[in-house]
Amino acid sequence: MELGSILKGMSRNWVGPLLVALQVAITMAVMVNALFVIQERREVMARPTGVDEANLGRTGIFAYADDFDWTGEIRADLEALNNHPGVHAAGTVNSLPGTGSGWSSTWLVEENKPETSVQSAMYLVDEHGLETLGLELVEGRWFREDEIIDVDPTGFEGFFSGIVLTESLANKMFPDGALGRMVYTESEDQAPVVGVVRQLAVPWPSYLEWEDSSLVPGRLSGPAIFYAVRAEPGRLEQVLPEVEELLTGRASGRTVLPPETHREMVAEEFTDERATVRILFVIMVLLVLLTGLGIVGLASFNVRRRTRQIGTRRALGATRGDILRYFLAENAVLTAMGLGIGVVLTYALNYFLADQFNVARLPGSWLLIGMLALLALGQLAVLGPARTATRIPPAVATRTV
Amino acid sequence: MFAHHLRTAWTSVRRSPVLSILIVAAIAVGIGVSITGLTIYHMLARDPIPQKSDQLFRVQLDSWDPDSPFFEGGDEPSGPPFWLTYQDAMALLESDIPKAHAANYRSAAVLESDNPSVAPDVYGIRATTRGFFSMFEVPFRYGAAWDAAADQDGAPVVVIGEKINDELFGGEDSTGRTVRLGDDEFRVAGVLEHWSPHPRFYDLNMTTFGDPEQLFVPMRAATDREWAINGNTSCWKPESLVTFRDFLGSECVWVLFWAELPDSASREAYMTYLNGYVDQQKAAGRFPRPMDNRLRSVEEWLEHRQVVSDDSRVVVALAFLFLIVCLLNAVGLMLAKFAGTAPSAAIRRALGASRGDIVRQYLTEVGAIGIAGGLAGLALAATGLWSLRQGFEDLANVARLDLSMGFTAIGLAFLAALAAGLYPAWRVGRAVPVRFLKSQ
Amino acid sequence: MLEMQHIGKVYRTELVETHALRDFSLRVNEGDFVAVTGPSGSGKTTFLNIAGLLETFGDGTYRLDGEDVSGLSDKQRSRIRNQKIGFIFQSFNLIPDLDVADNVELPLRYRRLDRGERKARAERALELVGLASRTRHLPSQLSGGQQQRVAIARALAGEPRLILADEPTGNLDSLMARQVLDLLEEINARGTTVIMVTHDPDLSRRAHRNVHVLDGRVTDFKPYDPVPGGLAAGAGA
Repeated sequence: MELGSILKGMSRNWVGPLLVALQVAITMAVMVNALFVIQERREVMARPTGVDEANLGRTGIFAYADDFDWTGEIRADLEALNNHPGVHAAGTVNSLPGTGSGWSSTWLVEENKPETSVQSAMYLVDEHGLETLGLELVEGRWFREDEIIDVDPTGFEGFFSGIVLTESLANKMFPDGALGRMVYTESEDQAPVVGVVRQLAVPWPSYLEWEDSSLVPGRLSGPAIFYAVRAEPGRLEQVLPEVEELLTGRASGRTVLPPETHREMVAEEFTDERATVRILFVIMVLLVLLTGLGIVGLASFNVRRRTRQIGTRRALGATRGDILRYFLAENAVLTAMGLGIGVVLTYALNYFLADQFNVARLPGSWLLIGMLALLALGQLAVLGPARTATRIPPAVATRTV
Repeated sequence: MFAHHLRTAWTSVRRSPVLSILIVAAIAVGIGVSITGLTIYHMLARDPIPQKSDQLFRVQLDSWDPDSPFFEGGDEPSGPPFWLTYQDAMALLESDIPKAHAANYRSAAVLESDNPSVAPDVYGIRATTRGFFSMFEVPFRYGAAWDAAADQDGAPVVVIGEKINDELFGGEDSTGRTVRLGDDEFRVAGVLEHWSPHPRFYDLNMTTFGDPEQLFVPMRAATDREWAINGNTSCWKPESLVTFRDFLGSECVWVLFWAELPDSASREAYMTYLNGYVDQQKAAGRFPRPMDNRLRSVEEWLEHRQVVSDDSRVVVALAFLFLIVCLLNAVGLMLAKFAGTAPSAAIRRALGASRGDIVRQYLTEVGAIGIAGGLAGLALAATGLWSLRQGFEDLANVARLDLSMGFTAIGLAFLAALAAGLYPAWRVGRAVPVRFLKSQ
Repeated sequence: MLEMQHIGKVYRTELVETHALRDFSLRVNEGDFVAVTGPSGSGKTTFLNIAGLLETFGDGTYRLDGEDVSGLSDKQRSRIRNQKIGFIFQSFNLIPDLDVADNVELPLRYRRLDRGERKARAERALELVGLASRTRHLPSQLSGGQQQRVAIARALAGEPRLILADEPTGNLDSLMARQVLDLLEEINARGTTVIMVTHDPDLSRRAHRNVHVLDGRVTDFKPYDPVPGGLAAGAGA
């Protein structure tokens, strides 16, 4: 509307507008990049693990008595757990997906051919595993009780009677059907693929092949073992303390590991990411507020400084709408200038972050959304002072100084 | 003159309290956020043992797979494995070149005591050789490390931390008394003072900022009892592993090895010794990869293991941009504040004050505002870090202000305020006296 | 042109009521040149504000150019101000950020005229006040008399039916004041109604009619004095 005169006005009182434009520019750069990093981290944290995350918990035992009946007590523990009301299923595991520590194994697709090797996470599970973890079996069968063997991480005798792969790993190893195929190890053991599950993530959040997991029928041979406990929907928080009490009271010569929910364990593993997300979020909110206040401040200052001028404009026939539009337009020009610098800054900052740190390149759509958001912020911020301006009576013009 | 400047500054602050408070607030928010980010970075990047971090070395030998290099996270090979095989660690312990050295690993066992009020519980255990204590300057309250014989024969002795000593023995001198670890009696050889290096540089496998173990036993005592390895174990060679003895003799890497080498001569001598050892092993058919032995100082080791996360650097970068926005805001507010005082500045000019006097006057005020903002910002940072400690257990030892960050906050706020105030002060100083006087 | 009947205006604060105008009646014919005089606080400015639709009033009726303006909305009053009235203020009230031409064009912008039309009219108005060569100057670069002439050009640019001048020479020295008054007379001579508020008897003498306001009431008319000697007397004072 009055673009030319707005620009001229700014060029004559450039310091205030320049300060605000720079604030808008840096705010855009920080806001867009912070949101982008937040989004990236949240995506990583939100990846599904394939287990019934909401209802899964973990406890375990650590035996110390010399005469502790390892096999017998575990069997009795599992029976008690599986019969406990509110428990859907419970079984032994060596680790859970996304919780940070677990085992990996190298499988060979063809016997004695190291070049056909594939890395995968290896879960030791028992006959309850399918129900306990809440996995979806798409092909074949699950392990029977008589297949579960004792395993020591530093060495054990024998090998597994079968192996279950995730779909992702099965497709990688055997693109034309995995069921019944033989999986080999570098130490010349072998086991047939007896089943395929839809999805099961690896234990390590930063591992690139997120779904390359395998499951084998095995159980740690002591002195410590984990029990995965899957509660009936919605009853996990209630069931876990009961389970701890149940196990503590059931036998002596061992301690019970404090139960944790799967979600807690994953969250702890993501401490860095969550802390980053929280700090960046606070920075962003404060920044937007601060820049909003900066705009309000400059506009209020301008309204006060221009009281007589606004009265005069009203006397000359400007409607309240004209005055409102004038301030909105002035703010839009100012914000647009800031955003012009902001686009450059945003790209520069993203380039720096991508170059130096673990941050991806910013898609262009983010830039556009950032610009629109800040334009809206500017208009919103200026609305208050602009409305004050519209209330300046035209009679101000005839007031003598 | 400075006292006069200060008095005038105080009057000026009182004359425009709202603007002054807003300026202090703008600086405080900027300092609060940037110091919060910086503190986390500072704690991550801290030297955990500054008096000798350049004399302590993590020992790495490349005993890995001839067909593929060692990977540990990331897309690129990590160089030699982070850990040694048991047999290599034991062999290196024979060298007398280092002033001290230690092979160690983390394990866990259930601890029982005669004290009936303490229920049996699982504790992390550091299984190590005795060089650990002198090398890392671990302070003893009672007793001392076990003797060299215990390293050799794996005698059931234990060094306990102050926390366990308080719980089990009420803080008394418990040397000579016993605790039950995994169903065996261990005699207490020594009790530690509080000791908690952050980051826990000697073992970065588990939580980097966790507290050290409260129980230390001879490595031999742990391996004799086949106590599990609560850390990384990585194997590459197809070997038949049936018994724990098989495992100890295997190519699996899991033992952490540190050596204290006080000067470059001992470093060179030790490297020569390592290379000689690997040559000898190569002759015996081991170490199939090209020779790649490393001695990494504490600082290099923390850098190599990327203790300072990328995220924390991103946070620092963005937090400082935030500070800049706060300062731009402060400049705007100062312009508004000083615009109101231009007439009084003009009167001072008319009374003979030089432009420099005026600028100095305003900078005194700005500096005082900056220090106030710094103090308020420090309080904000403390609040921010407190809320992080509440939200994230793992950050309990990281999100903490220390004295140096306190001084940084005040200094940064002072400088930032001066930088922000320079232009507004200069502008008032430049104001033509006559113009303001006439309109009065 | 303008007809006020029994206008009352009361300013209320918490403590006092001030009757700025009471039972104020006045009629101004098309083509008149009226001077409104009176001491400070007599209600001159309130009259001007109401006449120019800058303020609303309580009692009475006000017809401007045949239209009853008492019940109009803010927006309608803005439009009438813009199209029928030209203001000349004591302190000029030029917009400091705008140059001479932009200042003069301002009311035309609010009338949503296109750029060419605006320029043409502004040029004409500036020529009339003798400032056609200064279009790109800022108000701060002009003398007081020049500024007031720009303000007059701004008032004329919209070709209003009525010019309201509020102490138009109050901030000017006598030479410049005379130039401004000459201009107003010239404008009036072309048929535009002029109402000028002033406390200066020398100025009021040059109007066709004088209205004296005291305590918010019209107390005295001085009829049109056909003798052109008034002009000489004003100049000589």
